[in-house]
Amino acid sequence: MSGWEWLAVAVGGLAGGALRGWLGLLLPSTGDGFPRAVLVCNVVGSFVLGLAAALLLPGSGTLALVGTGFCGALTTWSTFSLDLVALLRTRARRTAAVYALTSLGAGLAAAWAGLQLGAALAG
Amino acid sequence: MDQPLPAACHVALVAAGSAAGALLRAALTQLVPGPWPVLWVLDVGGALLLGLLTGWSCGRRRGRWLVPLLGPGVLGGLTTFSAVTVLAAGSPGPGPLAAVLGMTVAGVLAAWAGLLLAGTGSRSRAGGPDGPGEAP
Repeated sequence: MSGWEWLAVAVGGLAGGALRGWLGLLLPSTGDGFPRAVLVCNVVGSFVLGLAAALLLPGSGTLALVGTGFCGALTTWSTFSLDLVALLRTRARRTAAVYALTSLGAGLAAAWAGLQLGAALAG
Repeated sequence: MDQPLPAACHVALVAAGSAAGALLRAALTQLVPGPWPVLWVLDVGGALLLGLLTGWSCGRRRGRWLVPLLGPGVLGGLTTFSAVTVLAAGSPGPGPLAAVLGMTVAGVLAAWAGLLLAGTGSRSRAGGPDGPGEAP
């Protein structure tokens, strides 16, 4: 990776993290502890990364900025896991199951849609 | 007594930590060959560390800016969801789906283990220099 690509990852990561931090304040968890903000981040990030992976060249600076940096930092696995533990510890098993299945189902569907749309646009 | 951080301050800490986390992730991706092994290491390892951090910070008064910087910041930026979903959605067969489900279970177990490990530590410190901690 060149110096510009490292800079692109850092700038993209700064933007993705800022958006996730801001959405976390804007959309606090609902009364039953459902983490809305992280769900939105993970699903939107999956779609954008699918699109970017299909449209942009591997190893390009733009993919480092949008993919590795922005989408990588906007989406998160650690908070996803810890929020599931918090729900399970408060015996909110149904909310935990709904959260896990919605995140994975919508995330995979969004990633697939992004890849398909990107492939169609790339022609 | 514990006022929450100003919103702009919280967002800036998460953003700065995320940039560092994304750089760490890019560096580890260069070192570990193959997309799945590095995602397992980053995501399950990051979940364990977030569990440890959350358990450690529970009931502490000091360093309240450190938790958004390191938790949703560095560890949020280090771990990633989109690379997992795009990799699985772009691969044929049931294998990738099983890997996503396996990683979900592993992430939950890792975060839980981190919480328990850190919780044990804070109980043994109760009454120490940090004062009687609020048990998690």
